[in-house]
Amino acid sequence: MNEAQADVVVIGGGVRGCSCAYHLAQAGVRVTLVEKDGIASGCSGATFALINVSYKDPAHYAALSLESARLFAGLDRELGEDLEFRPVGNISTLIEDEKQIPGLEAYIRRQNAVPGLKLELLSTEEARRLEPALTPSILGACFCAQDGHINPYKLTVGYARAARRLGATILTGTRVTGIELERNRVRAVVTDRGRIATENVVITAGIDMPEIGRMIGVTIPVVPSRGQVITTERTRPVLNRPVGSLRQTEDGTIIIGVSYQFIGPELRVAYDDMTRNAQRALRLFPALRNLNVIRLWAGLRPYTVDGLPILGPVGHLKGVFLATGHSGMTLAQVTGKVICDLVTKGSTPSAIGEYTVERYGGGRYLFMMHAYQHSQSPARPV
Amino acid sequence: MKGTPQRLTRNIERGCSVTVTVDGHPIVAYQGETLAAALLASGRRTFRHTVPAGHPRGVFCGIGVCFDCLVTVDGSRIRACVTPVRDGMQVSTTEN
Amino acid sequence: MREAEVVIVGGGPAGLTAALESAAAGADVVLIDEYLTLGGQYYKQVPDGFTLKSAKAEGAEFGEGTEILEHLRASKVETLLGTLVWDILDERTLAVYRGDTTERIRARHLILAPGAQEVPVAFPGWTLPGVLMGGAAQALMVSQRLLPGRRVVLAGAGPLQLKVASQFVEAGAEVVDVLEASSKPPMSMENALRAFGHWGKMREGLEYWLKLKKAGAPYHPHQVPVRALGNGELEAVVVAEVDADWRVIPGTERTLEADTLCLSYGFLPSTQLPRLAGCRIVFEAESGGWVTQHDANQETSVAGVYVAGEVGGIGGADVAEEEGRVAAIAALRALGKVPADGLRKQEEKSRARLAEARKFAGLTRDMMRLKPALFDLMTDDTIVCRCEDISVQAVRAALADGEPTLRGVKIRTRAGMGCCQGRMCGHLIARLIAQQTGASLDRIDLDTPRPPVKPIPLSALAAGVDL
Repeated sequence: MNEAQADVVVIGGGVRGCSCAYHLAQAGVRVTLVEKDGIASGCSGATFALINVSYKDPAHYAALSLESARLFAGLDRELGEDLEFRPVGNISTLIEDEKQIPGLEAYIRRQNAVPGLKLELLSTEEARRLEPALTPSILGACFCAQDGHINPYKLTVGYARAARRLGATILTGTRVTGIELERNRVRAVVTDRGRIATENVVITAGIDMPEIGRMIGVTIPVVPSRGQVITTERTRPVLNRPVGSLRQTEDGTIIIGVSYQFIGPELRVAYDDMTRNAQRALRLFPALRNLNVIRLWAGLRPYTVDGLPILGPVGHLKGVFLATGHSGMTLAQVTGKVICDLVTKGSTPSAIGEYTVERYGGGRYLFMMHAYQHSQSPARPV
Repeated sequence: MKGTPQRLTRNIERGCSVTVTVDGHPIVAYQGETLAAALLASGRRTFRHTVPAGHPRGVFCGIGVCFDCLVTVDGSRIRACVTPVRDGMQVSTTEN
Repeated sequence: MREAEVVIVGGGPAGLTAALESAAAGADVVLIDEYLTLGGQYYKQVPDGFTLKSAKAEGAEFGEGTEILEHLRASKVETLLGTLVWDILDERTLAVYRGDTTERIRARHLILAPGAQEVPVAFPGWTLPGVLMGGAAQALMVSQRLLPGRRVVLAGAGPLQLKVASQFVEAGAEVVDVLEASSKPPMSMENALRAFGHWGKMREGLEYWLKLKKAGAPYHPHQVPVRALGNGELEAVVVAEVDADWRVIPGTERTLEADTLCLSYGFLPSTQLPRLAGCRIVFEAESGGWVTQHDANQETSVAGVYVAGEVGGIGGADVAEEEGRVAAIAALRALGKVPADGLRKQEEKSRARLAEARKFAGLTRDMMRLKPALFDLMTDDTIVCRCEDISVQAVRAALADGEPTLRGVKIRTRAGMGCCQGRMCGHLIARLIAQQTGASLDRIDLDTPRPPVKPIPLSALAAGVDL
């Protein structure tokens, strides 16, 4: 490939990028997706894969998440794959200490003000009726039926394959080295395997957003947040839905999280969080003690400094659109839809006013970003 | 044609026998034997069936690397080829 | 946290020698093995509780093993059996799991000798009970004193299966056929000439060969198994002739009734633990794959971490022992247990033996060199990932997306996500990628190594690493 052309170039082959490519291709747009490594080689391939609406705040973010979650219905059929999308709800919080209750009740009340969201405080018996394997020692739990989970590989690869079937070009092992602008309009995306002439670029590069942003002179304050996960062997059905950062996949393996550590792009695991998560898992589900752990791994969430997504056009540049932030799986559908709306129509009915990159005011948040990042990648934590 | 695995006796004396129960049936086993050896000697070459395809599996690598020889003992999935028998051991080849 | 001057992981020939050499110079040594008996795959022991009527009747190799283990018992080496090193953290700190407990052990010098696994070779029906690898046959016959089957076909490349075949004969099995993939079997003139001078090895090889001849066991060069048949268990093996490139010659198939098919197609270094320690690996065609890189002192790319034995390159037990000695001497000098030029004579003798042993090892390795066409035996519905039941067809469908990597195949099919952590399918998928793209094996990236090096129970993780 030396000189190519596309209506839109999508930079980054994670779930957001592949969703954008799919939605755009479906709308008849000639799209080329460029991914430096492989599809889902970043956070989308190292994620807990929850569809999480209940723990999103403020209200507009919860509403956006809910909108996106609802759009998963029927996606299986569209993409022609069983995505293992299970809208079974999530018992997100287990009450192990009475002191948690007042705060949790207040949070539930606030969240339930969002139309369509219904968080419920369950008693021990109610929680155990939903999840018989749960320990009787918990005092209660918080459940939300609007949550769920999905297979992240099937979703991401599913989008990419469908996009290709609809005429998109998917280029993996191809690194973007520059974006050509002329009088604040996109002219081309330059890669290490050639130049693609285009007037539109969608940047969905996860933790590499800052690097790509620099190519167009835009500060995108994204920092990696490491999440460590334990994956076990397959076992008989134990969990009916995600519970307290445990989830059982369709093939029977149990994955256990959760942690958030801002220590730079460190993918090696550390045992402090891992041990706490394993201990919590066994407190909640004592029957899992002998389950074998197959893999310990980490994913790097693209966290924005305020925890909210970036979704929308770059104001002063024509043809540049950004989509990033954590919770990529949950927001995958609405992201693809919104980006497609913006590219093809110039506007979207979805409420994305709070997610502009301009809210960071250029350099103003940079010092916060650096405060999150360590100056050097640490040695293997012991 | 099925060939039954066989305990060899030349130049060897086995220690005390232990009771191992497999899917509810007692089998002969000797102190120090691996569970795989005891299962094979009892005429069982199939230790499990894969999920969900249901293909039969037994001993393949024999040294604890391939994880084909998994059986359930006291609620844990263990590799029969590297696990010594224990008196009173309860083995399931059907539980997963 | 236990700190030791020299920690050795792996109690086979390399690890045993390294441990004894280190202890003899007064170092504080810990030897760790994941199994309950020492000796690795080479020095097979009878289980605790079994008694040999006559040790002499077992032969020289058995005697060697008994002797070295007696030396070990008499030494000051602290031996931890049934102990798994599941991860290696900074500063040569091992995360260790034993019984129900976990602990950390810090090594001032770490010698990794985890050995190798056998090369999985796939063909239709290879997952049937009754199809097993040479190591399984030996573990069962020599250690457990169990004959795994009555009518045995052996198939492989190189001289090792002659030993296994003769062990089957000794144990009373009927050896129906022994198939060698190469046109130049071990006892061919060419190989015999190369072996000239290695009298001990030649005599050994001849012994096995004569035993087979005496038993009337057929031996067929340039033949391979193409299909394993049976209803739930192995009942017959279809074999065929191959040309000089190991490609099956159509029309040469014959069916052999057998309850056991024993595969011996060489070895792959078990580089998982060194990789977790951060050691660099290099592709060595003669060793059939990736080996842990090391210098002449057996030191890896990580300071204070050494390798000895197969994990640094396939060479057999004699090479492993000398490498264990060389690594130990290097560690002892670095520790100051001996002066910087101490043990000079021992080192010279060891290196001389090592050079000699490496020469013979080179011949054996050449005889075990696998031609790519061996991996064409896999057909579309042959299982590639045994743990997850993933077929060749599913792998090829994944590769059709255009990402010729192990990771790309893994996320699309789950191949490599099972309990064996890719040990059986990784090499096969690399071969399929090579077939499809024409890339040589050294250009195919391995998946990122992640702990635990072998599965451990959740309770072990919850116990914390000395937290």
